Amino acid sequence: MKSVPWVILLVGIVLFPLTGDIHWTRVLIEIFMWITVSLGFRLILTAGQINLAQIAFMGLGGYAVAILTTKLGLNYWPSLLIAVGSTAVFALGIGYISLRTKGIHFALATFAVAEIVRLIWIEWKSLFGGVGGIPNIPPPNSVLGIQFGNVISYYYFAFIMVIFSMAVMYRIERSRFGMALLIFEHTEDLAQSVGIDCFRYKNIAFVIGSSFAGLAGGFFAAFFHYVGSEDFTIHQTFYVLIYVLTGGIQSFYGTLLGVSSLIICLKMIHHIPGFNPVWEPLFLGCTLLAVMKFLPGGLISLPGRLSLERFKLDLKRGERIAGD
Amino acid sequence: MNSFLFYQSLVNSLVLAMIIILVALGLNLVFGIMNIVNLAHGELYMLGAYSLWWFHIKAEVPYFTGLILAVLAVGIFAVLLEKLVFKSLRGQTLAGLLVSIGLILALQTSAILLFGEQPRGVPAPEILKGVIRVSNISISKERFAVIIVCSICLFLVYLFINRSRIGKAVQAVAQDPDAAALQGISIDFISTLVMGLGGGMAAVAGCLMGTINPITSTVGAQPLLEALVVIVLGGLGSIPGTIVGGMIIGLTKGFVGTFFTNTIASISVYSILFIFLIVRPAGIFGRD
Repeated sequence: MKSVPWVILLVGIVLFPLTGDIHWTRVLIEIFMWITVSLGFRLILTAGQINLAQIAFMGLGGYAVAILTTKLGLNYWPSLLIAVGSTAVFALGIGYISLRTKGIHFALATFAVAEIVRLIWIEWKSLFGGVGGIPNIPPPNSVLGIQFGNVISYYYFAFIMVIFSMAVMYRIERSRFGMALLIFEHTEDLAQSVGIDCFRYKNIAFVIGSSFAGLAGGFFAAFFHYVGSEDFTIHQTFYVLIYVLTGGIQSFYGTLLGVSSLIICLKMIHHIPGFNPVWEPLFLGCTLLAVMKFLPGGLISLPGRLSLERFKLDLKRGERIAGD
Repeated sequence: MNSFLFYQSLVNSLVLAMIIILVALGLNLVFGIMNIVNLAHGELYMLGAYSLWWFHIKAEVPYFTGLILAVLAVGIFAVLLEKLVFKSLRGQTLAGLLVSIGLILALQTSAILLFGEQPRGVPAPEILKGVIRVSNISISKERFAVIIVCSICLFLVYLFINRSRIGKAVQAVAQDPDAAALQGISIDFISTLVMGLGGGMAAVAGCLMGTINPITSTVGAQPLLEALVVIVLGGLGSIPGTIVGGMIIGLTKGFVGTFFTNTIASISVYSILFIFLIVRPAGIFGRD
């Protein structure tokens, strides 16, 4: 009977668009999109590597779909496949070079990649449209009789995308591969000595994580009908990082929790009178500082922590009673 | 290449290099002592520029007094940051990196709320207006001031680190914190000092560039990225490496920027970072 609330939640999410609330349906679509990106980001983070180029991979997916559909007139669905594939190939190249470095050096190398890619989008005007980006991306072609026009169709597209990525992550987390990733941060040498090919494992994780970003980027292009270099700046990677850390990285449920709670908070801020768009980064920045200081395990560690606190409290009370 | 263009680019590169070195040196000193790459270092640069604007335009303090006040204010702010945020993270590189990302977002948006969204500008004082000409090479006086002021700052920091007792203590902590602590050097004090010094240097760079270019809340991002390139190039924690790396980056930016576009100059600078991280992560002067 423990699963009853979860089933209710799931049914609620599936049926939500039927309420006809366009605003919150769009918010949920955004949440699904960022969950996909964040799950990919978290996968390589569990191996102790901070990939600051995640947003660049998302942008690559988006730009690939945009170019294939608007310039070559290709169908949306094959374009999406090609976009994810090309993001994976690019990630393989970058990963193969930069995963030899660790810790701060890896973060800086991916930071450099993100900046280079963004500047190329701006500089190469004929292909990527410069600062203006690529507008007028057509909606996806209808599949199984579903027309892509209204928000509800995109909702279920995003929903299937997020369910797919969660299923992949669930499988990975319970596999030998996923467990091996977890130990790299602390004992890479030991892992290597028992015959785990760390470099190869990290490469695979990096490619899978980046492909998720490419997939979400392809969705982004279809949903907003537009891609531009301003949508994929390093700040967006910072946001993803904050979602993941706020949720907690021990389990991928933490990522779900972090993305949904923070994006819902961000949308709530919009309703405060005198709202100013700069409150968003301010809120997220302060959230990160607070989480790092007071809750290093993220939101997901909260229940365990609370019960631990209660346990300590009980212990103290018990001692006091014993003392009396 | 004609010689006029060559010398003109050389002078421009020197100005760029000086600013980058000043920012990178602070970043690198902090890394050497605390093992933290403070990505919010660019925000100290930005705050320096804004403080100068505030003191000079809003509070109507004379330019040079305003400059000194701005540098002091940012130095004190950096000390507070160290005390409140970074002190507990000393030695934890990745945690420090993450926290500094939070600081970037918080400080940039606070700057918008405090100083307004529109770009701000600080007019150069009378003494810095006009152009200096040597044969047919010209340089504006404000840019020439950048070279002079930065050189003086670098020289003073060099003297401080190599000649003074406290400077030697800074070197000792960078080499071996435990041994330094056993000799009675307070690591807390040295960390605070270096953070304040680094913040002050970033503020000097920010004030000088704020006089030349418009000031916005994101103005610190580019010097920060370039400073990161410089310290990777020169070696994390190495002071001579910072100066050599700064010169290389300044020259690359100056010359590529002259002959191609500024965007291509930036792309080549980040490519240098990427290549160096892969080929020689320890940098030119770094220890492996």
